[in-house]
Amino acid sequence: MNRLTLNPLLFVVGVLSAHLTLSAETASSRVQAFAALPVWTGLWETEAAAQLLRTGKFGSTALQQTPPYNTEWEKKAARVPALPTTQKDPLAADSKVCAPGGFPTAMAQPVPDAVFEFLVTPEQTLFVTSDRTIRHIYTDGRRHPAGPDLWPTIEGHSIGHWEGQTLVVDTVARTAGPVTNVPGSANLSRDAHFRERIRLLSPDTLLNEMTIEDPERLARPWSIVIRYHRIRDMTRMIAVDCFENDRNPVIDGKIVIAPPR
Amino acid sequence: MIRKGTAKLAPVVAMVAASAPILGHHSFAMFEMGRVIALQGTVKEIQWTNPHCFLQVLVSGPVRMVEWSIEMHSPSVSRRMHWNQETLRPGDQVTVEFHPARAGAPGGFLISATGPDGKKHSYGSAP
Repeated sequence: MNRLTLNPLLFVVGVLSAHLTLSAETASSRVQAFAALPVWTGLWETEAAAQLLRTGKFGSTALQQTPPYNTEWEKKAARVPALPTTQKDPLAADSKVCAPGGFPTAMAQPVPDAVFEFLVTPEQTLFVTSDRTIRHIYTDGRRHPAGPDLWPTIEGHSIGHWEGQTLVVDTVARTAGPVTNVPGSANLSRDAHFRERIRLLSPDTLLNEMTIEDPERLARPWSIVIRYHRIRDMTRMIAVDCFENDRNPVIDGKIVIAPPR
Repeated sequence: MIRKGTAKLAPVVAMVAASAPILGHHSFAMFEMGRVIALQGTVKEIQWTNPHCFLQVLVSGPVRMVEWSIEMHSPSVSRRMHWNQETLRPGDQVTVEFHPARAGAPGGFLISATGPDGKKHSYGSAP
């Protein structure tokens, strides 16, 4: 009788012991996985944004370059009217944008409002921006969703893996369209395939080497390089948005200042 | 009191004015960047808000007090330019320099503000 009474207790103790051992092993392996990852903590901005804040001079972003279109899309791009000189001049044309950029725009923002962080974990790396864009880069060994479980979004779907201290990212299923909201910027299909290699060049510099393949629209892979600078004069993420107190309505095509509310 | 003149473009004033702003809300065509107005008045408030901060200044006009809206960058960028929401306080006598707006309510884009202690708070370039 005693044996029958004790056995369930022993069973429970055994299960608990095994569970705790397994948990400890899992925690230990996760600690080891963390220890192998690079430290990219802190706030970052593009080289173009840092230059703008430092010197007041605009830098062109890599995404504003002309891509190597194939013949068909070269013709289509040529039919897009060239921007009048006034519209290339930031001081001469009215324009207003109030939407997060998505991918790949968010990776190459040229203005210092657009700061971001990387949160590196063994399972995924999060790219979090001040305009609340959150990009998930899964590094847990999964593949891209297949068939009807994959559809285009403004962020696309990203998976990655680590080659030493370099994060290698593979992104598909980005919504078709221009890569930035600057008129005339590269226009890619929903089948565009993005590969990034992101690594620390120095304690204050990150490098993103991005190659884009899009057989429907590009004659060959399009390679660009984006540099990020560590921000030393901010101690926390400060959010930006367009909605809290937008006092710049567009009236008759002109942006104006509205009286205070 | 209002003084008008022409000045070289303050470099960082155009900070968020990418030809089509990818994030920075709007371009700066709405301001006369080649002109500078200096104006003396009383601070009504600083609106420390997104997407732009505003310095609200009450100025004596020929008939009545006029409220001027002096636009700034976002709180994030303003903070990096060493401004905060208490750089000036309501009731402070202030001289502001700004690029005037082409249309809308009386206003412009901030270049600098000199407070009651005589300290000039530049907004046109990063220190």
